[in-house]
Amino acid sequence: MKIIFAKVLIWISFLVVVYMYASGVWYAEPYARAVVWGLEEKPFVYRVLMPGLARGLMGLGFSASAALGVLVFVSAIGLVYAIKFLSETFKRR
Amino acid sequence: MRSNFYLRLSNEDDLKEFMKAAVGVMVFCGLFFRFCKIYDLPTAVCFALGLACLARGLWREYMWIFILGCVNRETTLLLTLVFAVYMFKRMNRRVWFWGICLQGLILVLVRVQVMIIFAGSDGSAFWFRPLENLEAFALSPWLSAAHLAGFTLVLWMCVRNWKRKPALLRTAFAVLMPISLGLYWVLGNAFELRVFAEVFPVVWVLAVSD
Repeated sequence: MKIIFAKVLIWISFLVVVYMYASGVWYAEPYARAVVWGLEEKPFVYRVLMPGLARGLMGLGFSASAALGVLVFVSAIGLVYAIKFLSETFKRR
Repeated sequence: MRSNFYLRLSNEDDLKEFMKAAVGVMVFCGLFFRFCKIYDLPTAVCFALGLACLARGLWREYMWIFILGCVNRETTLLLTLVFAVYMFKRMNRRVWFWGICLQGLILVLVRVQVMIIFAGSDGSAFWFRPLENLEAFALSPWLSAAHLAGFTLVLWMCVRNWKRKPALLRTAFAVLMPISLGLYWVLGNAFELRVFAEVFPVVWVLAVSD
């Protein structure tokens, strides 16, 4: 129970911080659309993974800025597990 | 050694690792907030997963992560450099050579394709600005001094008990950190730390490891 409570607390703090970070990439809709549709200038436009995924989310009904925001959250959660996976690699050895 | 991504809830060591990783991501968000871009977090994810797969010998997973990393950002090339150095004496030489060639081919194919698609976009492929960055550092001496102090602290936290740190992390740090510093000075913007997104997972795990 204590462990579940600790994890909930960590997740809440984490989500608050990531929300504040996402506000830096949570563009106004016109600029978000420019990012998603590859209208940025070089070299930023070459990084196509996230805009591509955002277009997929837009196909599900998200706006461009909401799609980018969702991707930031998913990426942040992914990074937690990726760092954990990396750290645990060396604990097993 | 195979592994899986399952997260158990009942193990306190597991909670400790989870907490360290979550705090690491919060530190990432704080450090790299300035001029943050949508692809900074996925860059760090690709590097963390790629290095873990390298260490665990998960080659198929490593190649998929490498491909995704190339589509995300061209600096995934740095992962190939770590592969080349770390696996040099840990792998059959022929497999090592063809592994590097395959990664190089994937990177070139993805990069060329993307450059063709966006050939008409404004801007330039690279921002080359070492002199502008030196000028910016000189114009803000206190911020530059704080910057240098921060780097020194990070360096100390990473290299303490150096010989006890895992070989892969030592190799990755030795390869990625100097190159990242060079890229920061030559191709980045002064005081914009995002260029260190690739090396952040390595630095974090080195700094907080027991």
